[in-house]
Amino acid sequence: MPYNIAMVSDYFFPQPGGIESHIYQLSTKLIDRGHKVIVITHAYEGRTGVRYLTNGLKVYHVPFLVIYRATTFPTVFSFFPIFRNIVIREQIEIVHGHASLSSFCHEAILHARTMGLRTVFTDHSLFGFADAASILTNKLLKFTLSDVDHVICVSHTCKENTVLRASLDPLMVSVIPNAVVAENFRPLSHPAYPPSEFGNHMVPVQQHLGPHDTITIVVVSRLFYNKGTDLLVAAIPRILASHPHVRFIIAGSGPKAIDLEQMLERNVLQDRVEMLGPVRHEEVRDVMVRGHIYLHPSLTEAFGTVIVEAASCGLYVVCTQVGGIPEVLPNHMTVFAKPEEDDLVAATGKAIAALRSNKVRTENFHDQVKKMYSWTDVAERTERVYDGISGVLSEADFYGYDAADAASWSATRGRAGVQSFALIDRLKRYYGCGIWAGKLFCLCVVIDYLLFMFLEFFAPRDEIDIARNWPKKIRVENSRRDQRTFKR
Amino acid sequence: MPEHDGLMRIFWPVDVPRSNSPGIIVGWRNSGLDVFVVAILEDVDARSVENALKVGTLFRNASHPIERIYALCGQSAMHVLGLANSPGVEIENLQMHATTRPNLKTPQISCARAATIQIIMFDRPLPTRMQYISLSSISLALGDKSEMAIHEPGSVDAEEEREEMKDRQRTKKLVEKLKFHTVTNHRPSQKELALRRIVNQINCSWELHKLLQKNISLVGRRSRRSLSVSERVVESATTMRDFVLVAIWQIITVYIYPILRRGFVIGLLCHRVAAEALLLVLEWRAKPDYAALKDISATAQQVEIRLQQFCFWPHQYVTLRKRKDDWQSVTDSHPEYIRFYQSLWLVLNDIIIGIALGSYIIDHHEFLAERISEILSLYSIAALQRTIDWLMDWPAGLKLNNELAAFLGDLFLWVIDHWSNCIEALRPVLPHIILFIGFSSFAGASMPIALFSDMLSILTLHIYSFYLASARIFNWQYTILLSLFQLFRGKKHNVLRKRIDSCDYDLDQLLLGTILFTLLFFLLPTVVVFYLTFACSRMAIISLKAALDTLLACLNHFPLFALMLRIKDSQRLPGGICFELRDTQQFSGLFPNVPTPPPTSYIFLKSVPLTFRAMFHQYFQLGHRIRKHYLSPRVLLCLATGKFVPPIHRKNLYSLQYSMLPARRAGIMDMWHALTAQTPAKKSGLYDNLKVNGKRLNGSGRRHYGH
Amino acid sequence: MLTVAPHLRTRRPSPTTVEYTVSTSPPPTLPLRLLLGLTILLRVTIGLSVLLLLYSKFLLSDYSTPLEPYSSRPQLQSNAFIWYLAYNLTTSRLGALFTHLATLTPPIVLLPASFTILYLLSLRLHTTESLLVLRGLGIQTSSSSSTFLSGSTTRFIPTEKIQDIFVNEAFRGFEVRYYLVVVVEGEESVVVVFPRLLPRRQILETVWRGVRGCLFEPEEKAG
Repeated sequence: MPYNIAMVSDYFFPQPGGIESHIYQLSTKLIDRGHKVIVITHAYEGRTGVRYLTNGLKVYHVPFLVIYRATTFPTVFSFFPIFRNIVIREQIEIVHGHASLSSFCHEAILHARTMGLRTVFTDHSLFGFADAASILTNKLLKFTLSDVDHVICVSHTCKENTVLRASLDPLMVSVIPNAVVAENFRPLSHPAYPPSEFGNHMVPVQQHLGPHDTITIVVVSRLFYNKGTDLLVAAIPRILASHPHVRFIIAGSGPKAIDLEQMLERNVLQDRVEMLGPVRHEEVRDVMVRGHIYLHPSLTEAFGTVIVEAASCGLYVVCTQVGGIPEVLPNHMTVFAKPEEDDLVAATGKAIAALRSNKVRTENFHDQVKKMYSWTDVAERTERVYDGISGVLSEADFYGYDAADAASWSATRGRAGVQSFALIDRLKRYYGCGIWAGKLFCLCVVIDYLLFMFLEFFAPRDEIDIARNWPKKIRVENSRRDQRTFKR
Repeated sequence: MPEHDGLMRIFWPVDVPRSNSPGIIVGWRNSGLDVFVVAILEDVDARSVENALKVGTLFRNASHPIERIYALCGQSAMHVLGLANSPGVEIENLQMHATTRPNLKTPQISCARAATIQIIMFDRPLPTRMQYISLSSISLALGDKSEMAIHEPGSVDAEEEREEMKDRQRTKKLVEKLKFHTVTNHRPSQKELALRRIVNQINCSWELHKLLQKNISLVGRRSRRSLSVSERVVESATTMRDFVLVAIWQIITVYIYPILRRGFVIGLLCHRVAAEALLLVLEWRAKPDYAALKDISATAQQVEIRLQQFCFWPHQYVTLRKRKDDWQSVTDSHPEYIRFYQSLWLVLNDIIIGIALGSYIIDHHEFLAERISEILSLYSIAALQRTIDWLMDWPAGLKLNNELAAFLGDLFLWVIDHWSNCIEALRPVLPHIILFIGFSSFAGASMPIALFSDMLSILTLHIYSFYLASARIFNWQYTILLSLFQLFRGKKHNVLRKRIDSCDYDLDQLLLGTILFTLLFFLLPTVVVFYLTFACSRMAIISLKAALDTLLACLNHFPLFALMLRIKDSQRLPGGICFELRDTQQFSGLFPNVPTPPPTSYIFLKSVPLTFRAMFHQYFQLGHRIRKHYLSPRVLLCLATGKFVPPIHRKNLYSLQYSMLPARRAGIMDMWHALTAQTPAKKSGLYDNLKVNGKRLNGSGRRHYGH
Repeated sequence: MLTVAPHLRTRRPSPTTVEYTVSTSPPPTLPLRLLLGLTILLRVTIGLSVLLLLYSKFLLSDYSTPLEPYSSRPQLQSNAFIWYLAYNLTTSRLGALFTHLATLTPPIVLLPASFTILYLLSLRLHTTESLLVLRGLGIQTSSSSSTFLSGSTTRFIPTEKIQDIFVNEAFRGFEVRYYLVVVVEGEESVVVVFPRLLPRRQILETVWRGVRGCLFEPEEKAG
């Protein structure tokens, strides 16, 4: 049955990034399956208000104060009135929050539970446990995830990380990886996708590299510390010194760009390394197809969508073995290295040698990736999660767990079919967060509830106009495109 | 284009005579079912009226060519639009039957081709009183010159101006882009395109109506009877009297008046030459970017404004006189009229207030001089000395560096000492200066204010120099601190690439840098305290000067005339039009022999007078400019880092002052030509239209009546 | 009771002219008229008493000359009659009460408070906004002002300058509201119809359909 879903996050277009495009692609495919999806995010420079994107996706850019790198000011309650208004007018049933650093997402999940809606949270990144910022973020995550219906993580490593950070029951967490739109990331020799040639078999041509052909290594990343730019700065001179016919192309911008430029100037490598600066998402493919190897020296990564994109473009991937990266691509498409300078240089050397001896069939990568990842699949799996939390699927079906064996099921999560919304049950869940933190969180929840009562009284529901929906597509069972019809 | 929906639109003047008698409706036909009624002619028949309109009989004896009206109204001729109060008569398809009754305000119209009718009733604006309606507001200022403000490059204002320009361009691009996103493409129909013409037709309708009523006797058969004897006697007597009057008038105008006139023009021209010389002096710039005298001194600017006004008045007057050459319904020069009389009146007001003020100043000049020197020595010298002494001695418990504070304090105190000696030397001259200011105020109340403002600048010159010095010191210290802080972090400012690089420093560099950084950092509060004091006093003086300049702007440009006009006759200052839908009952029961009319809506068109906000628009702009210059975040940042905040260039701030004047004043030869060129035309104008009892004086002498 | 939620009234004397009025005043019945009359009376009395209070304060201050009593009643049309009335008023019981009140309140409190009260008294109770559509001419938006001192502001937009009319939604305070907007060619900001009342979606859709139907002439039928 079609749901009305709200995706809430601080990170959405026009800001480019992985989370943003994840939300967009997932929402589009869910709309194709017949649901209604809206996105709630904060206002960007010059873009505030209500907008419609392709496929009828409605985006609410809420005017809110932004403090750091597109994250809004974390006031716990001030988002409630607008959130309630949007949820009521769009008749939302499920609230899906993204990104643990997004204060909008946490607030939305809290308020949605107070209002009696189903909530899902998706985590996209890995966090540490030791430093002060991580401890605080983890506590906050524990607060929000004490009372959420389901959690989705993008890789198994991410699932372990999230379960440990927020002390979750592992059965509550599903792993649904990201995907790529393979049609947008084709190798150079691959023609565009005409719809009539669906199913036509293309024979890929193998490229041959002689011993003195130039090999180009492409790096596309935001140049921050956690993306391993320091490793790059250290490794590039050594790689270029030991391999004379190698070039680098570096795209992206960030605070570490200056270090890179200084390294180039110090070693006089301007003719062998090209820095392109920031590139838009549509142009990434054109940058990638200029290369043969993709280098990803990141220090931490939950999924690494850009690696899949690179593989889809037919590049041989050299990456550090951290986080969720080993789960993403099969072994024959990647060369792994430890996140150290020497290892990285050695791995790159191995990759270059493998390419020169033509041992790697990079021309098959695109088709393989196309079969492995698709957003429609992600949408289907997400829809199953929604079915599970709404009670359409039975507990046993959804969790793979026998309902009769409920004794080992944690008491506060025990329920008849769906998580209960009674305030006392919710308070019980929050109380277990810690000695002091539990009481503080309970207090927050009580205040939230009182605020909800106040709003119900002073801004009654019948004063809120119900929004008109974009014309909905009828859900198609088969994938033939020409059988789609529209209805209002 | 055939009308699809059968909508007939009729513009009906409210003051059309409401009687029961039949008449012919004449007016403009803008398109098939879009008509404009000018008059209802009674006691004539349709065929002859139509002929008369075609031939032009009805427009005889007009004082100006009728083609001008035709051009304004966008038509080549008027037509008979229908019949009033003649229900039985057959008319063409597009003509209408109107029924009027004395007790009803609105007529009832029916037409064969009309399925619905819109009757728009309007009050005729009287061109003799310079009333008119307009779709957009009357503009009382001569173009917006605030956009053309030029700033010195690199200054604070130039940055802001660039930002604003970028913003404006972006908005313009967005507005252009909007045009691509329209959902429906609607081609404007003929009725919609006719609106501008109709506004002109409304403005001309009173004069046309008068002309038509005057010439109505020329249409149709009128019996010509000859004069009786008594009438002939009366006529010859009045002819003789008129003849004598005309002869006297001729002597005056031909012989005496031109001499006087020529003398006046020459006198005016001499003054103009003197004014031009003075203006050149005031506007001279050493280099295009440097300030001219009028930019620095308020008095010079005030003198320049008066001179420019004086140069512009003859042109304005000539333009106004040209109005007599055309129909009164032509409304192009009405804003000019208002501007001319406004500036005249303001100058007169200024002089009157100035005389009052001047007599007060002259009577009390000793007392005033004493008070001013007292205040001056109190605030600009004694208070400053006390403040500096206070700063040297741990102000408000802040522990400043004693040696540096003593050094800075002694420096400034020494300069103040010298300055106060100079001021003491000037003290005996002050009463004479005040007397001079009092006399100058007879030239207008704005003079003493301007002179006072300039005197203030001169007498507080020492504060300005203190501000410059302390700002410079603070800025140096701040820049050095920033650079050493980068060294502290292990970074360096790369001047070539304009970025912050990381840099490997030697140990001795790091040590020395850190020691210097610490030293300067702890010396910072002392310097900051002195800088703040002088910056605050400088800001106080600037705000005082800004207040005086605002007062000057009020005196020079208060829209007094426009305000009085608005109160006395608001139709002379149109600010748009508005429509009002009126409820009128249907007439179906009243006229048994008239068929039920089609659904009709009665709408009243009214002129919206200029809003007060629009009249004071220039003031809002002035306030905005002042706020933008002095209170913007950029200026505050400059204050915080010790960069100079220059006082705003007068020419940029006070574009208000120049809004009533043209951007470039006309040269001397232009003025000569303008003043003398019209005299021959005027001479012939005087004679041509001189008629005596209906016959021309210098004409062929045949007697006619009517034609 | 005195104001209702904004509701729509339509006047359509002919198919080509229509006026939509949205206002908060309830439909006029006799009890309502009486109530409104009562409020006007109340306003007038409060206003007069505030003025009397100010006048008493003025009399108590140093700037005024005290009023002299009149032995006989002067003529109705002369100036002296006004002073006679003023003297009688201020020395009566009511006047004494007000004088007492005036002595109690310091001027720093009295002046701003009385000006605020006078301003509040001049506020209108009901807001009325309307949209007049004339085929072949254009549309005119009008909005009543908040005080009794000024009439309504109107704005006329000729049809050729109307680029589009549509209903959009936007953030306003803590909610998202629908609003009807007219895009005028060449202008930077759009014109919002019914800007103060911002009625609900139902009313806006009715008005929007009416405007589109009335304003634009029907297209030529092919053939």
